[in-house]
Amino acid sequence: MLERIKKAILCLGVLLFIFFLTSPIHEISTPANRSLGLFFLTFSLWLTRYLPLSVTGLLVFALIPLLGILPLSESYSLFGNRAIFFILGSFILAGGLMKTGLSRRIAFHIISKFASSGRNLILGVFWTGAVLSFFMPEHAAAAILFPIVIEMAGILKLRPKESLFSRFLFLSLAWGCVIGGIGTLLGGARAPLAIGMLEENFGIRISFLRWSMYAMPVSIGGLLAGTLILTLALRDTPEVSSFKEKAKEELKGMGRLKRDERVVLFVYILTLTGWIFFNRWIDISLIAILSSSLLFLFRGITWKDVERWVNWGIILMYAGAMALGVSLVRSGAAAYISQRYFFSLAKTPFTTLAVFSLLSLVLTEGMSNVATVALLLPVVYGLPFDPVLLTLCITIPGGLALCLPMGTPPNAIAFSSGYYELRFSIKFGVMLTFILYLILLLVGRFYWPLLGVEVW
Amino acid sequence: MVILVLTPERDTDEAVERVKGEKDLLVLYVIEEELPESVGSWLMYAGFLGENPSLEVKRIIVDELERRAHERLEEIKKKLGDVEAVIEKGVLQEIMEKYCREKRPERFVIPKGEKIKTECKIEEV
Repeated sequence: MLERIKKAILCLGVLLFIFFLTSPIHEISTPANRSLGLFFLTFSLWLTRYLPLSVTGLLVFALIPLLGILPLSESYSLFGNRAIFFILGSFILAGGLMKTGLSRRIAFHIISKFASSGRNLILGVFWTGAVLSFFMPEHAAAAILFPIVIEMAGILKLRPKESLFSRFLFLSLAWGCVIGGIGTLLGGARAPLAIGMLEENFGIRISFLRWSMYAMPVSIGGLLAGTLILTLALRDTPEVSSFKEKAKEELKGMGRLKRDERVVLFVYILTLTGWIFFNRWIDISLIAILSSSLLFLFRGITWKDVERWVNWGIILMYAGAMALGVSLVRSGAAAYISQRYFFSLAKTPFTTLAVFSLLSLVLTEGMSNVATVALLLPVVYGLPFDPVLLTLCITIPGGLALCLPMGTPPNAIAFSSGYYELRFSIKFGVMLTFILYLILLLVGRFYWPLLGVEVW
Repeated sequence: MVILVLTPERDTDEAVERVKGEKDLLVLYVIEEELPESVGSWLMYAGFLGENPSLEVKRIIVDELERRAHERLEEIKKKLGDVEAVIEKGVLQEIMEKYCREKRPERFVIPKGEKIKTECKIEEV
């Protein structure tokens, strides 16, 4: 059934691609028509994943000049956007955190502090996922937490789908990583990609700290809402002292910080300091690259480690997403689509926030976060409102896939444990998504204007 | 011989009850590697995780399924007495074909699910 739907979506994408090659819309140029065709083809490929996401990204680079949308050199130059280099550097840093085991140590430390009761233990998993995702990609945070939570389930003798406790233990892992992931530029590539597109199209730069100031209140609001749901839902929880003992043993076994862990920790602190305090003088992408070089210099990590722990292919997807977005805007296709089809829905900045953030929340459940952002951002960039608001209203909700396993890797990893059913994650995920939507609207209405975003 | 076939997805007390009293019984628990395979390869194929963390996620899922299989078999042994029990990893269809060839059972008893075809008789419960 799912396979049939996927095939239908792909066929539709290919047909629309061919249709737009004939320049059916006379009000816009031939390159704009073709960029729309490419948009539908890419959309269908990202949604169905018939090709690896990275290969689709690469295909975009080939088709943009081939279809005459942008000149070859201009198309390739988008690969050199600073957002791509920021992502590259931050991936190496995250690889260092994972490889040295420092992230596992941090996770155990935080969780063991919460292990006073069953409910607190779940809150510990939830908040640990969030804290890790403030500093590293959310999928990496989920991969680190997953073995710990599985171990926890074994020690506590939990059974799949047996109780609310066992279900929420795994769902909280996914939720924590996803909600924490929107807080900073490090939680996922969508935010660096979005600020890269903002700069390419409008020449507006957003710093690491500035982005966190925009996004963190939504993240913290979501974490508090998640805490409330978990606290109210979990009434009877098992005794968890056996895990507390195990965590103590584990931490004891890890011993003191090893040399490579100290190196990674030092470089990470240095990098964060640079991103927060020195980004006026040194670009965040330069800081990311210099820091990752420091890791090698101090022998905190080797290139082989990086190759094993980081999937470089995905960089191609990010670059392809960037190129697609820019070609839609520069060719005039994005402005045409948004004015023609969406302006009636989004007459004011606030209704734009309300409508497009909802659309982004729905789309991101079915496809990769980055793909959602890459496909919706160019469309909203055609609207005559503050480009920062437009970037925020797509990018922040674009990271909040809380219901379906295909939405984002943390959900897929947690769901693969078999400890909860799909309907369980949909039921509670929809509830939390709705609350997060309201939080986003409140933050957008009352807080973002204080930071200079034009919401009215 | 009767072979009771269980998997993480196809595991019911009804099937266990059905083979109660069988003298020559084998309980075959099959861990289908399809799910961990698909999760691990999706994470790597789509490009989200590097080789090491993807394989680690896959390994952990398989280990977890194995742990649960052992627990379940202990439970079944308490119900049915000290029966022979085996855990196999792989594709359900292929494993049942193999057992059909090697053990020549009178019939397989398996909880309802996707249709399996072997030369041996299959009773779906």
